[in-house]
Amino acid sequence: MNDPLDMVRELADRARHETPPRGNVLPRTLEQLRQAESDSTQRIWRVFAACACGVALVAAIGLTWDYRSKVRDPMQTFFLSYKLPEIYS
Amino acid sequence: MDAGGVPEEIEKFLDPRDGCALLNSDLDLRDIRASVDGDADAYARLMCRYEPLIFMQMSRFTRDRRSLEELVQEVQVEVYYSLAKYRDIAPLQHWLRRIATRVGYRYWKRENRARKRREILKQEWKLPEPVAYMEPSEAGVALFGMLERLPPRDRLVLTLYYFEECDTTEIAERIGWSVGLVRVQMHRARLKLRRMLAEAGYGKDNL
Repeated sequence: MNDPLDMVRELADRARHETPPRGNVLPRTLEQLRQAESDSTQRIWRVFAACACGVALVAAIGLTWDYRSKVRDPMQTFFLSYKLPEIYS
Repeated sequence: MDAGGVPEEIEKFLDPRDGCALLNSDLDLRDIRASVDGDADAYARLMCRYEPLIFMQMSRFTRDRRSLEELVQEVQVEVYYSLAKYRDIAPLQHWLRRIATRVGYRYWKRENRARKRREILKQEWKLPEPVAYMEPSEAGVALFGMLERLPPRDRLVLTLYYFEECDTTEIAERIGWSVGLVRVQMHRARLKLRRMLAEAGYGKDNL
């Protein structure tokens, strides 16, 4: 009885003489790489813009808070120290 | 390989299987450096030189023309992103073959998950005609169809062994497994293949 793997080896010996397929997928690849690069540039700009918006928002909230603490509190102090005693007196 | 006319001192630097250089040419090194620096033309030149090799390698993983082109493209993209990590200690073609093998193996695993293999197993398998009368392309299709019925791990080691004529050390290098693991896998894969062929009636009086 023959070893079936001998047949496989014989097949492989023949198959190795097969003409390799040809093609030209390089232009498609280059286009994809350019697209990926452009996508990544756009992504970097989007992240940058989102960060800038975030910083601006935090700064605006901080400044408002600061303004309120500096401006409104003295007003409250003013009312509490001058008006209220007048009202209740 | 018949290196007709190639001087002896150069011939020893050629791969006997495909006649490709075993050392990187200055041209390759220049193009690699330029590609890493973002020169797309240098990358295109490099790939033009090696595209036939990649096509040949990937044709071991699929016979479908469309999938083959997708795989070649996948390899080219992976090469582009990995070029910065390439060190000039091994020939570029060996490095490309390793990447191509990885991409091909991933493709088989994806196919396996997509249950395509089960569909293949359901199909009736026709025994090849007597091998002696086969054209190389017919033999390639027959061998591909035979190995297709095995799980991806077995199929990978046997494909590299039969189609690419790699020994265990080379298979281990290409897949990134240990030599011991490749030997064990090879032994199991050959047993499975032998059993499959015996069940199909081979090994009795067909040869």
